[in-house]
Order: sequence, then structure tokens, then C-alpha cells
Amino acid sequence: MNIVVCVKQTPDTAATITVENGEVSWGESPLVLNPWDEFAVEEALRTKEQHGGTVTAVSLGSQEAEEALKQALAMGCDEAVLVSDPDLAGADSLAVAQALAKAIQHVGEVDLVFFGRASVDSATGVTFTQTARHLDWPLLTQVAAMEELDPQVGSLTVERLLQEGRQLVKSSLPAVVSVTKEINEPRYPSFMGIRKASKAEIPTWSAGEIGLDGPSAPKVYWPELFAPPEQRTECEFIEGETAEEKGRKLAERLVEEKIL
Amino acid sequence: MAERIHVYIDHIRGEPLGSSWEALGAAHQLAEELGGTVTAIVLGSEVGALAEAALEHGAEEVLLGQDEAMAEFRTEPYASALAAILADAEIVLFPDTGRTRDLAGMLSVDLDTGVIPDVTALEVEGGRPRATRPSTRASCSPRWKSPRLRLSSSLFAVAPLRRGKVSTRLGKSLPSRSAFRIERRRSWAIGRGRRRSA
Repeated sequence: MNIVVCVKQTPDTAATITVENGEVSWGESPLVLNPWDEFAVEEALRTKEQHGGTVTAVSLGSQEAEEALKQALAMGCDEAVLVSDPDLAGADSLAVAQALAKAIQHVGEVDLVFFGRASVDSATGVTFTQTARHLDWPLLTQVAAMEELDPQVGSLTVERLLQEGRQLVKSSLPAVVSVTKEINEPRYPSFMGIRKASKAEIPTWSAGEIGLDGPSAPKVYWPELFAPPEQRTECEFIEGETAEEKGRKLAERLVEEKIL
Repeated sequence: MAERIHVYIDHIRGEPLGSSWEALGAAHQLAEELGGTVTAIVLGSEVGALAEAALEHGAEEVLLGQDEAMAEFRTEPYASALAAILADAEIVLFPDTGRTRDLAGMLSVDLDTGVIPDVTALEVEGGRPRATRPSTRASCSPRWKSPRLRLSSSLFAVAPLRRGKVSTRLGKSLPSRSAFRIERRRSWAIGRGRRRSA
């Protein structure tokens, strides 16, 4: 099995996000492997452990994104590749998907591609859909369990977690799979894995190298970013000598606020 | 600028999914501001009643695509059908029903355009629509350069308008998108131009 897992580097979910002068800032918080992608990496590793093969982590971004790939390597991925090109700066999900599809084809004869359900930053949740469409491969989204996988026959059965219920879907390979958090419990990187990852030289592929001449210009852009309206809550203590008095004052207060 | 705003009506075996009508309402608001019309799209098998319901809920026209092979929703063939119908579309709204995210994503590739999911507000600015969506726990407002947009919408009212209908027949071959064909057999003749009172 030749498995690819697509990952993204995002701000830590524990970071305090602010908007200053129309720019999103996460302060001094470190950038991490997108938490949703950890489930994808874990599932890719489990699939490899069961069926053999290699797992290649692919990310698109600036050189900084190497850190996210190192985390994927530390978890146990065999290879990691960074797709980075000045032409891809400001790419929207459509352009990212186009580049990822080219990168997946450049990896070689890939059987299965894993994605997390969305990124925690832009959170569009359509990149894997668009990648699958570019590749013209079957798409299996919201996968909560890998039921059956037969690399010889080239078939895959998964359970999808939908709003209407659970759905069992059978597909041919190669396929693109996006996973939910119900699918597994991601492992922690091992000490050996971290050591191996820290020494790893991660190859960088340019747009030209993956056969992408002139990535498509972004169709969606952000003219404005603003913080969501602040939710103000005030706390007021009702004082009184007895419980009865407190109750009466509370009732009066609630009537005053037109709640009762 | 007069624009035709398309709305995909999502349903499970003919039962409409609630936010479809909300998307129709959002489309109307946009159409009013842009000076356009609203066209609903209903795909499936034996979903004629749903097309009627879309007219009752205020669509000025309905594009109805029916075929036995379309009875069960599957993203790939549905996206191919939409791509064939919407080759020249300007704006397409989707209700956010979970699976429409995949559908809109695939359609955006076929039409080489942008997709904006989770839209919470739609406005018109300088004659162009503009959408707001939440992101990174801060709200962001992306705007598109291309004349098209895809988005999932929510929470708007509906207002009945004129009636009109188009029937589109879908080909039998299904799984591969290249094998999928749409034939426009009937014209825009059925019950067009009747005004319904609110």
C-alpha cells in the first residue's frame, strides 16, 4: 500500500486568537500539526501496520510548515514532502487542492489518501473534496471506521458518520478518505520518532517540480477580517436577610428585565 | 446587473431538508438587491412534488433533473449533473445540510470557481455579493474575484413569487462523471408566468 496523508500547519487550538488591523494573530503560541490531521496520520499508520507499505506525509505551505511534517514523521510516517512555492502564496482551497492533487500524483502510484475533516484555522472542509475531484478518484468523507480493506482486489469499505445516521460505503482504490475524530485515538510521537524526525531532511517540491505550471489564481479572497461581536455577561448578586426576601427581590428583578 | 441565482434543494427521497427553504429565502434577498431571479434545482427520482414545493416556496423557476439512477444521493454523479446544468451560472446557493459541503466542493472544481462554506451573512456591496463566514474563532469576510460563488447558507425567510418550470432528463449511465449526460428534452413551457399570491 502506498499511502499519503495530507497535513496542514495551524495555530494551536489553545492559542488566544485576536484580530489586529485586519490580520489574525495568535500571539507567541506555536504552530502545530492541525489537530484534525492527527486522526488522519494515525489512520494512515494503522492501515500501513495492517497491510504493509509506506506512509508519506504531504503538506503545502511555507518552510515553517516543516515542523508539522516533523510531527507526522515523529508519529511514524516514513516520508515527508513539503510543497512550497511563492506562486502558491495566498492560494484558496481550490488552488491548494489542485497543487495537492499534483503532489499526490508526483509521489507515485498512490492507493489511498487520508485527510483530517477540516483545518482548525480556515476550516473550509472542502480541500479533500476538491483534491479528490482533481484526481477523479472516489471520495469518502466523514469516515468513522475503516471496515474492510483489500489492497489485492483494490476495494475499501468504510463507515461514514452522517447527520442522518451511519452509512456503509464500498469503494474502489485509489480513493480519498477524510476521517472524523471517532475513528481512532492518535498516538503520541515516540522518543525514537522525535529523534528521527529532528534529523530528517524534508524535500521541498516547487510548483514546477510537481507539474503545476501557473497555479490557478485564487477565486476567493478575504477583503476584511474582524473579531466576532463580543458577548458581554454581567453578574449580579441579589442580597437579602432571608431566603424569602432574596426570592422576592430576584422575582422583582426578573420582572424588571422582562424575563418573567 | 440582472443575475440568475440558483439554489440547490437538498432532500432525502423527496423529503426536503429544512435549510433548503432558508437558502431559497437567502437567494430571494440577494435577487432583490441585485435585481435578478431565483431558480431552484431539484435532482432525484420521482421528485416532481418537491419541484412544485420549491415553486410554492418562492422559486421563480425550477430545473428538475429526474432519473431512476439518481434515487440515492451520491456526491460524484450529483456534482456532475449540477456542473452540466450550471455551466454558465453566476451564483449558486446551497443549504448547509452536511453533504452539500462535498457537493459544492466538487462543483467548484468542475466550474473552476470558488466555494465559501458556512456563510452566516450575505450582502451586496458595489453590485457584487459578499459573504461572511466564521473562521479561526474570529469572523472573516471573504469576497470573491470571480463572478461566481458557491456557499452554504442558513436562516432566512421565504416569499412566494411567480411560477415556472423546466424539465431536464438525466442520462442512465452513472458512476463516471464523463459518462454522465444531461439532456434538455423539454422547454420552458410548463405553467410559466403565473403569479401566486402570498
